[in-house]
Amino acid sequence: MAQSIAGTNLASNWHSPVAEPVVRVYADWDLDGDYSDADEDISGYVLRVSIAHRLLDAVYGLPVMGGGRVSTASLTLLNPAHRFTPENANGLAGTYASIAQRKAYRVPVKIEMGYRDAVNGAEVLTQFVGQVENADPNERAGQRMLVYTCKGLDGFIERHRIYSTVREDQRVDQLIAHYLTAAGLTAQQLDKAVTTLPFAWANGEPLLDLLRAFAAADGGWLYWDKAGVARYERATHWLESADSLTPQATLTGAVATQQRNEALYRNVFSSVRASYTPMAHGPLRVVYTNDDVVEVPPAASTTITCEFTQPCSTVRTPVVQTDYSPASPAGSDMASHCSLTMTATATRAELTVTNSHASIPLYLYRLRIRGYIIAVGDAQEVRAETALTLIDGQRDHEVSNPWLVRPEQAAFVARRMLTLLERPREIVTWTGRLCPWLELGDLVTVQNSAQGLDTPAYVVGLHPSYAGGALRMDAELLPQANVFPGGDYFTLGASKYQTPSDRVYF
Amino acid sequence: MTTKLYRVGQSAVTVRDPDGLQTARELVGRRERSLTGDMLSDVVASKLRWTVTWQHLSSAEWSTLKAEVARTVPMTWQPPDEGGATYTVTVAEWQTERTEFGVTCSAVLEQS
Repeated sequence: MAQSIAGTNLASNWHSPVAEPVVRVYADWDLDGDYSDADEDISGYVLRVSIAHRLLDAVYGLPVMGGGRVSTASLTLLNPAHRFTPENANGLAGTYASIAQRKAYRVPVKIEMGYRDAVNGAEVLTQFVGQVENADPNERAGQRMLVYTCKGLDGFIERHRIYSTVREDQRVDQLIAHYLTAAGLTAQQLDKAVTTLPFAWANGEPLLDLLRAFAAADGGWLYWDKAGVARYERATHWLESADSLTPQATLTGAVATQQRNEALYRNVFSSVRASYTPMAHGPLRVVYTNDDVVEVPPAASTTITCEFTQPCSTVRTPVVQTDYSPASPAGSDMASHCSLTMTATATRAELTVTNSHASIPLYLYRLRIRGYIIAVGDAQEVRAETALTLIDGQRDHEVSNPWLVRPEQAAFVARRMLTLLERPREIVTWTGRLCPWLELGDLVTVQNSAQGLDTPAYVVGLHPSYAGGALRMDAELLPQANVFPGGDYFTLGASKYQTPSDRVYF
Repeated sequence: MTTKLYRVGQSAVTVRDPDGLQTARELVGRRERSLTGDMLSDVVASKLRWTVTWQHLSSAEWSTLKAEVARTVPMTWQPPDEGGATYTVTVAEWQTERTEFGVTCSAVLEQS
């Protein structure tokens, strides 16, 4: 959704023959949540900025389900007198522990870009919100620079792994909201998903991968916008959002310096197969057995991690003499000196065994854990075949996602993917003056009269940059034609059931 | 008509008025042609650049001037005939020539 430019003259200034670029960069050195402190406006040191926001999948070069790539920014700063150098106690490192101790790692960064207006002065919009990942001082004769490599907020759940209990009958957006909030990412704008998953849990996979798999299971995508807000957009979002229905800018040759068109024939498929695995409540089963003896020293505790053989919706705390037998080295019953606490998730449990006897060690025999399993059925397949005859022979694409659990879900996902992949797509890369309010998913009109190009297209990649005093952007654009082959889809919350009814998805 | 050149934040130093003064405006930014051939100008700032010449400086005048033009730190520059307006500059380069009439110095000052 395009950023608001109400009250500004950015719409005219961005394609003026003479523009006055403005770049503002802030770093929250003291980690207090604002950029208002001394030294936090580092705009005066900026040499170059390069930002990337992409919905494009790295393999397909198309916006496919799940999400794109993590947003990045590269900031090249002048570093006079080693001002930003982490090892220099006479620079900012002498004031801010975030620089001295962590080399600015995870210091929040905000980048704004825009143009100076003759009446209103500087008019800027946020282009990136993220955190520093690397700080690389770079010194040459006569020039000291430092490059900060930054990642969007999504980059910091790339390696965030969690284990959770099972959440039942939750919509995909509810699941995304739950896990994002638990990870501390509360800035969210999530479409209401169509799919409700009967069971969902986290099993130690990277959280970003998990959330994108949820999104893909609903045919949508999860990404972070320029202001650092997590956005889940369902499959029909581009048919429903005003900014994806009406062009938000016209990208003409007058402010373009380069244009490339890439036709992606390599990713044309004649069919898409999507497999799904049904899930249901299962019976009470033993999901963990410890064949070893657990030894607990006198007046001490031992914690063991128990990995389950199957995910469980509910786990029972082990019962003495049923699920374990505590005994002394001589074999006498130690139940009165043994206590056991358990913290369980869907796929593992942490068991803490405490021996309250002051002098006798405790041995735990035949430990097991029982739980109500989630019964996962055999994988079944749904196939969508193209009716087009654009390529020779059969080329199959396979969709695999553990959260595809229903046939209608798989059918929808297969059909949605086939729609994207059954014909060669063209990606137009437009390079020119930065249009600062565009966001991923916005519709624009791209024009090049010499080429005969005048078409609406979705923004699927945005690369704002600043170098040599000029603001530029590489905008990757997916022409709108045939992205949604129908045109009369049932819009959630807007369409009314009628005769004849609108389509529901595809 | 007074000409001054001194370190920013320090006591003002009056130097002799120059005999030649060229002022040029530079647009900082980028200019390039668009796909339609139109000129795209991105202007970050407009900065001044002075080429100043002092001819036949006496030893005392040169001594005062040399102490200032030789500095590599931000300087305050008050050109003559601008009603006392001052600019922060750096001395980008300077050169001298000694003759029987004294020292001739030419310096380039760039606005910060």
